Amino acid sequence: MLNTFRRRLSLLVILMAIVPVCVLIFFVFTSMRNTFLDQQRNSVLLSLSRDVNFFEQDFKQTPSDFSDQSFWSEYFVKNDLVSGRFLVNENGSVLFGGDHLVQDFSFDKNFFLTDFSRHISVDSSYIGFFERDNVHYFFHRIFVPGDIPESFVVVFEPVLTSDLLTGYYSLRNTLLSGGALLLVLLFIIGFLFFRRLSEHAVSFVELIRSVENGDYSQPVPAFLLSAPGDFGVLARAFQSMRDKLHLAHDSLRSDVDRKTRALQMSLEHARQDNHALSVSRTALATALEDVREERDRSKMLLQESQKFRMAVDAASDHIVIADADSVILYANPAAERITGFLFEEMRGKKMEDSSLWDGLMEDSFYEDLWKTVRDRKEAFVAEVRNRRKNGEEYYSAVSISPVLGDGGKIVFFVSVERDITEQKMIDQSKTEFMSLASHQLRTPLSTVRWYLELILGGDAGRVTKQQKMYLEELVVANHRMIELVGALLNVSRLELGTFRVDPQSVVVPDVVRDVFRELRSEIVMKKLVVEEQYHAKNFAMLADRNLFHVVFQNLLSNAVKYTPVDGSVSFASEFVSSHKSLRGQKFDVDTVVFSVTDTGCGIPSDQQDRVFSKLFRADNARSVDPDGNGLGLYVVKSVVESVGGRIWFESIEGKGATFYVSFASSGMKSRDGSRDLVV
Amino acid sequence: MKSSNGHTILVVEDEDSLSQAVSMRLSSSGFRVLRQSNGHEGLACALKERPDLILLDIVMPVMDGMEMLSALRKDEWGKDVPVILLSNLSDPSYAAGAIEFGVFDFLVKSDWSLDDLCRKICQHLGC
Repeated sequence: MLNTFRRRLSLLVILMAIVPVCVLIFFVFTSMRNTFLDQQRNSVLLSLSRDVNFFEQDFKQTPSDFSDQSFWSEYFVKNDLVSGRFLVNENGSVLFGGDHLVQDFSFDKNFFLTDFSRHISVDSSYIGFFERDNVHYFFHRIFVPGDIPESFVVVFEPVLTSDLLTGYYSLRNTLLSGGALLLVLLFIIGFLFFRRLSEHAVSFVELIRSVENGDYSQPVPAFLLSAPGDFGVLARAFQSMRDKLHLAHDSLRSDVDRKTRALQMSLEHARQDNHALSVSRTALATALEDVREERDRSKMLLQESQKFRMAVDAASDHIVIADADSVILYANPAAERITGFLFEEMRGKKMEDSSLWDGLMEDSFYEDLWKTVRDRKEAFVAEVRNRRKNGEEYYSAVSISPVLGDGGKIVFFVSVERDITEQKMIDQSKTEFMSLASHQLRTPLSTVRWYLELILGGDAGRVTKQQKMYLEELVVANHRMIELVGALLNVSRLELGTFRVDPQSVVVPDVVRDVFRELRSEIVMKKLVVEEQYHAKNFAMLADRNLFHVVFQNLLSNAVKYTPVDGSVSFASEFVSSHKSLRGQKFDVDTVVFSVTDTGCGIPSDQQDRVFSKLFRADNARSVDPDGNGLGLYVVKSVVESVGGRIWFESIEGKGATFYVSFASSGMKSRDGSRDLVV
Repeated sequence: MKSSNGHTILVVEDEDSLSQAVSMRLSSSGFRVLRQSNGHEGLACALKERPDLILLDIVMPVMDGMEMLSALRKDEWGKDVPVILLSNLSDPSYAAGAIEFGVFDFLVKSDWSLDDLCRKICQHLGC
């Protein structure tokens, strides 16, 4: 920045120097010009005056008429006054000459006259000049001897101003060019000189800089060393100083380096020590933290496992844990209580050890058990009959699960059992009660039925028409009671869940035909049209025949019952593939759908939601048959759904109804139960 | 009572009225009917009289129907005689056991009319 300022300053200085110089030069030349001009003017005036004096000396007689041109012409010619000059009288009229005026001097008469009257009059000067339009008009009055004072004649000599200054111009140009040349020369010399000077200075500055940067190796240029005068002295002194400095610097630096290295090493050692210290401190802290964490975690785990332990110990269900070889590792107090064995007696023995609570099931049951938990690694759930230590038999609901570890290997078995003896007893007694009740109810019903039959058959003698009528009422009533007992029995079995499903290959058309046969008399009486349509001839499926009979019998007897004279009842079967639908129902597996259609009284739409409920009978059904027990469809629905089937219907009151029942085509699943449903 | 169609039926039933009703109906169809009211006497009668068919109730005092049946089947003659179990117990859990003993049929009394019962017997004996 300083450089720029310095430069600007020097530039300013230069400018300030130049301007007065230029002004000076201008004034010089201007005064030169003026001087020259004066000189020239004087010379012209002098020559003019000389010429006029000659003429005046020669002038002898006054012309009679000053306007007489011929006189003047003769006079001028004679006296050779003419060349370039003209004669003018006191009014400014040209008496003689001036032919070349306009052409040579762009002469303007008006202006001339103005100037003329200004400069020349009777009283004014008789010799002078005036300048107009770069023309000098030199004049000299010629006094005419005589008595006419107002009349005079003026000789004019016009001269171009530039002509007068010719000499000046040439001088000026010479001077200027000479001066310029001189300036250039000076400039060159100066430049060279200063460059030389600045070169010295620059290299000097460079040297100093290099020393500043610590570079002592830059050689001092010879031209500096040998530079004349102060510069050379300076350069030489500088060199020696630099060398000394270099030496000093080097020795200092090596000292410093050495000391620094030593210091660094000790510093490094100290740092290493410090680092090692902090590392071990951190490690210690971390280890401490880990230990604390471990302690907390194991405390928590202990608490958790204690919780679990407490929970398991307090459970009312028998819980036994065995290892992968089914060796008993743990048994909770409930297990001890239920089985009658203490844990100490169980520990170390296998779960299936016969010296423990003896299983009273068949071998195939236990085979299935182990196959499920060991081979298939699935939980086994079943009801088992066991024997306690004291020989007492009991029932338990058993769930044995394998516990899998990494890689899916069995690590434990967990057996949870619940003593359901009491429940089973209750159930059994319920069932027995039901059986007994139904048996007890049926016996008198059979008696009534058979004796009515005998009487109506004439075994007790002739029966009158009226007697027959009454007796037939009794037959019907008795029949209803028999049906009711059967239905009640089924309901109770359904609710107890004790009915059995025993799937066999059942030819469905056979079952249906059996049912139709049972309903034959009513069908014939009502003149109903009966139809059967199967998706495959004689098709069979895995099912419990009894259940099929119960279901179809219920649906078909309803259809027949609620269809008036000349109506129709039809039974059909259809096969529906998996993921397809039929009549708005979607099926996930291959399914067989049975349908029973009638043209009967149908089911009112506002009562359709209650059709499957227990003891429900629609109003119109009641009017067709006041004596139905309302249990049939409840039984059918429960039965169908318990074997994984589906039941639904479509009906329009007054038009008829279609009931649909569907089962997976793979068949009914078998179901253990103590009883069959009543057919 | 003599049989007109040449067949003898043994009815083992503890409920007397039922026993009588069946007996009356069978007689009027031409069968010779023997009646016993418990399994013990029924067995003795069967082995002695060797009827062509036995109608056997299950729930009976002294010896019930299943016991009589098993004893019957141990006999040389008894193992082949056709037996129809008549009961008001409606579950054929008994039927499963009875199949082992070769029972011809299992009928719930209240579900069968005497007529149909007769027809069934005739069907089997071919009369």
